[in-house]
Amino acid sequence: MRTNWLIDRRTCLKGLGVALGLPLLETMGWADPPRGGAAKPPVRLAFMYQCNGVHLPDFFPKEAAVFPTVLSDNLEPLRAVIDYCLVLGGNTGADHGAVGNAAHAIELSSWLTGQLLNTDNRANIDIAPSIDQIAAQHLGPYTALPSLELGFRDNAASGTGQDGVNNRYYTTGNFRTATQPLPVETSPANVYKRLFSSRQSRPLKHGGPAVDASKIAAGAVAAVDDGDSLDRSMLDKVLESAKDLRAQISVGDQRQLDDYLETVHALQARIVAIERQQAEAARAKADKGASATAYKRSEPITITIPPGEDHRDADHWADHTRMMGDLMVLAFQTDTTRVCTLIPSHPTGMNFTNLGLKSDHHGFSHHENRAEKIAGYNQCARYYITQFAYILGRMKGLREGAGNLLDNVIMMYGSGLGDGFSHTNTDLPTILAGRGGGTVRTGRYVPKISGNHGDLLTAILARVGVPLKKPIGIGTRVLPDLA
Amino acid sequence: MPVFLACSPGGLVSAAEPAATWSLEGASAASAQAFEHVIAPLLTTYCGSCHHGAKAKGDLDLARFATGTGALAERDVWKTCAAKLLAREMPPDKERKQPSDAERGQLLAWMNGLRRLSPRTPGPGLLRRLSQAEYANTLHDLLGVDPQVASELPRDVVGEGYSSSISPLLMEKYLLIADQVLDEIILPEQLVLKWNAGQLDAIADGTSAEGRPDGAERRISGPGEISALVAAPVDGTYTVRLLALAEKTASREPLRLAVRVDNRFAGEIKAVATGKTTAAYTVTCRLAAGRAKISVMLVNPFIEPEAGPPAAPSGGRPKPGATNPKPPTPAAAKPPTPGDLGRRTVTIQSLEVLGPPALPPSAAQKRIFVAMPGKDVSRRDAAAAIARAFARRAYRRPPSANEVAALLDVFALADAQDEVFSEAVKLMLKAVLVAPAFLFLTPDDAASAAPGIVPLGEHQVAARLSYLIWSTMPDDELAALADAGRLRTPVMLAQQTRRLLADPRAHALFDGFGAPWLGLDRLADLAFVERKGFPPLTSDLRRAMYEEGALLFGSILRENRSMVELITADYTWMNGPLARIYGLEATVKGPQMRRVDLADGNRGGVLTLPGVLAVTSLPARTSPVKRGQWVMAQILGQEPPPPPMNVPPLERQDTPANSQLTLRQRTERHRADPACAGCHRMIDPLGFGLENFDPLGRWRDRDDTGGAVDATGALPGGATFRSPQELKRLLAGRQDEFCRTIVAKLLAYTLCRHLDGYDEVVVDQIAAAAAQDGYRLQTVLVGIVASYPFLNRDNR
Repeated sequence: MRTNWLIDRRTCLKGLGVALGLPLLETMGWADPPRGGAAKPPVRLAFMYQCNGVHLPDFFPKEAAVFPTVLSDNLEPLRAVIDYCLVLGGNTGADHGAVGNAAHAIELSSWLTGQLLNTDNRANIDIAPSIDQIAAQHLGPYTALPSLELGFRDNAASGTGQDGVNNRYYTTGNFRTATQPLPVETSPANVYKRLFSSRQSRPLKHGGPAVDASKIAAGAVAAVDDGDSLDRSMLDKVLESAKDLRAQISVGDQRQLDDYLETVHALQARIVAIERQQAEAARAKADKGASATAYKRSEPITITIPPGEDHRDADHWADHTRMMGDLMVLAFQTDTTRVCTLIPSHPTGMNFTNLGLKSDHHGFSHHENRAEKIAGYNQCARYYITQFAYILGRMKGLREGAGNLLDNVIMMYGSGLGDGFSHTNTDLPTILAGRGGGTVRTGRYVPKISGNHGDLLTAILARVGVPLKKPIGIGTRVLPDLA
Repeated sequence: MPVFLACSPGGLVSAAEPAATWSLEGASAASAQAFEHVIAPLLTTYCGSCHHGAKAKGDLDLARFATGTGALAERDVWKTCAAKLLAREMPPDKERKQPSDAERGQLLAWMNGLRRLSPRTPGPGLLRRLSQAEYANTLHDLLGVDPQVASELPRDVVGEGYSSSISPLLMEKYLLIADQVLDEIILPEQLVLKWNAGQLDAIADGTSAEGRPDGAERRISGPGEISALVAAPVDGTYTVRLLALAEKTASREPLRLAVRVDNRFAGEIKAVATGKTTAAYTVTCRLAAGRAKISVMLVNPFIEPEAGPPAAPSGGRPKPGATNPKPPTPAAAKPPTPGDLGRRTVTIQSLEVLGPPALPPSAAQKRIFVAMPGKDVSRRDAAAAIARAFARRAYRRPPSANEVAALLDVFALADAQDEVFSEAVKLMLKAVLVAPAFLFLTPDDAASAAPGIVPLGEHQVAARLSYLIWSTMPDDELAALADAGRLRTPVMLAQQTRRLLADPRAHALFDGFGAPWLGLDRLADLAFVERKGFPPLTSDLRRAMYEEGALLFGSILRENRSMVELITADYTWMNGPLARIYGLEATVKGPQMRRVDLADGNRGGVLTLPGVLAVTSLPARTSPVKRGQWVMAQILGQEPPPPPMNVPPLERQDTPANSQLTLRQRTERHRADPACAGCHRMIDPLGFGLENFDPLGRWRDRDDTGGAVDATGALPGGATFRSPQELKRLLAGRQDEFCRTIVAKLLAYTLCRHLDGYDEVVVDQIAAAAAQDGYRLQTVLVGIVASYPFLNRDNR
């Protein structure tokens, strides 16, 4: 038996009690400042990674002139959504330089940072914040979750491998700070719980302005921002106390402590966001007229999570990736987060036994120009792109504002390696999907972009309004090719 | 002073110097001397023709190293040289004059030995976060909860390069888990409510009377009731207790009182006591969580004329709770005629509502609530005692005065919300469970932050030791030793290390160290292509493969035997599913793992563990390269250099002729390319020695292509073998390299960092001590715990 969770805007409000995933009731507007004011859907950022590069002649279209009528082997699964895709050729990533032998450690870690890890401190994590996290700093304050990182296998790792590079680089694409690799959520049920059934935060009865959900619902209390919860006040005390610890630790350890303090601040901010959404949900519930309109507009999305704890065996890989894709779409639809990364597989380890392939993806990538291996390599690439196309199709099918969700998304798909056989950092396979609120002109193939991967990352951040002091990683400018 | 006496042929081990005599000056002088007498002549012989003079190739003019001191000054040069020598890129194959393997070994040993020429330092003291497994075990020991509560946390792999950083996801889960475990173990306090009857609302003589705060007892004569509103904290059985006194009447029938919950009958009391003092009567009833109205009502307010034989008087004293709940008899409901009949009168002194009955406190609860507020103890004082005791255990050291003060602030915060005591304590404990001093292993006190090299405090040593072997917090014995300042002596440390190793919790050392070392932690995620004649890798089989490794490692460790037995063991553990892999399904059945002696000399030891053979295979076939690499790295401690970049594409190879080749023949073509040959000449033969085992570890004489398996090969250094048995014997003979590999990997696991510089000297010393004691595994652990980097930290 399978459990169907039918989630639409109504159930977000009613069925789940505390509505964390606040439905996008257009009467309420978006959560941007000034609150409740913005009428235009925000632009959301998504990233989906494909490891091990591609067989270039089968990925990039042969001729720009006949694109998208004629698609390449690898891009064929995108046909239904190709008008929402921008294929970028000639994209060059960070030079592998001194750690070139550890190409697979570099590919994922440089993909969202646009730069090489610090080779002088390669045994430890020392790189740069990835653009999803830079964007989350900017967009996160409006949503219950600043960002969401999803994967099939966990990215735990330790030790050093080739060229003395920390093994965590092989498995991690998201870095909150230069030294803070982020774990991925691998259980769809846990992600669901995190999005929609989080804890109820308990307000302070004394010592702060009282917050009573029923009063908010009745309109008696306008906002909760100045309310205070027990947990947040408790965390304040913990923070104060943690500062005392500074005297006990060496200078070298201060960074760990700073990371900790910063994370507690982030947790407090998350509690605030939850409280705000609870209050707004309660208000929306009270405002029957408005929600009645919204119900009519609601577009249900069904997520099917198979029973049992472990549906993470290789046979269910595709199901798992789609579920995670569904959760990403749902989180966007409900404005629970605006930044999401999906890493279906990191460069170490995935076997494509689900496709009946007898070698692993990495084995195929070193194809020695043998036809049978190239065929397997292409099968792997088409597999990833099929999942990507599924997610895009879901977004395209969801109405939002005057268009659909995909109109307001920028989803970057690609790899940090170009040709997997020879480990190149040139010709990175790169697809930008979604129109970014009208800022990306899709349905095109640009054979040679006028910049590098850092410029591309810089251009993406510019489109969601992140102010930057300098371009990302190896970038020097804002890539002009997107519009 | 010769440095290379212990060089095994082609090996990389240099002589370990006894700890007492090692000094940077001495080691440098020896190394410089060795350069002049041994290394320089070799370099001149084999490298001089190209790397000499103004036209020296690769910008390397060896002539400029006239003295040993000069050579030592340029370490980076020798690092590059070592890499090229190891990969056999140098001297190039086309040179006729090639160093022998022994000479190559001497050069490499000297070059790699330069890492040891570093000032003596214990390395930085790292503020280390508890891993997922450590966090789970610690919650279990601290609060008695199931470690599964932490199963939603992202997994961690402890070891070199471990990342201590906390992500927002992690922080959020820490808070959620803290809520969950504290709710589980700190139950709401028992409800204890007591009113004087005068404080309760009453109905008497047809009129209602509100309770007054200063009300005392109530006397009710004739029809009437009193009622109280209660808020039950949880569903459960509660006790209603009444102190009452009935006045004497002529009737023999006693006065009866009905106890009702929300106007539904719950029980009846016969107030038989008619003396001068009140008696206690009880009724038990179920209450649902939430508000309820409890009322007590006279059932038989009027005295009726006696009819029939008089009722037997009830026995002397009233028995609390002895009355059977039964509805009032219809007689009571018969409308009496007021004028004729007397009234019954009762004086109710007080009404109590108690419950639900508390379970006996668990051991964990008793350890938390070391004090309770009472007559002589204020709430704050009780909270302070609880904070100090709990933080002492959770922080694995005595909390500072500031830390206790901050916890009491949190208590005060909750206490001000009119919380019951246990709820206010709960918030305070939650603050402990998200504090950095709990989530990280922190130094004892401010003295630990003094600049320079400082010894670790007693408490941090206790924590390090217990997390190393048990992956959890120190137990009472370790904590008490640290409190008494008695742990940090070599004798006591050795004694405690051995005590911890003897405990079943030492299984954690396999989970944390052994499984990642062998690669068995990857079993759970391993996927094979399903095909005929190839049994599926079921979860039972994966579990058995993992446990087999755990039992082998655990028994050698617990019984303190030589680590060489990890290679040579002629016994193993298996159950029914695993026995099929060994072809022993006829004798070994059922799910229970048991020890089995192995008759086949090709079997036994870590090299032929089916789990290891599986994780070093591809989805549909074996990989001699992966297996060879595993032997090189995990047994001999040599990380082969990675494949060169931009491997030039070979010509198309999927020709019919090629498809006739066996896997071995195809793999051997690696060696046709000079860029690959250097390393694959070392790696592949080791893997071929295990080709008799299929991807699941089953024995075979023919490989997938149908060709006969050729398991001959040679170790780096030249010794040849013809079967897995011979390969194992050769590797067992390389016990010094194996020992050093285990020591280095364990030390990196312990310190959670990359080993470098003086660490190499420490590894040499521990390995040498273990070698002198028959390579016993416990001796390695004792050596690590007594080592300089384990007991000190460098704050520079």
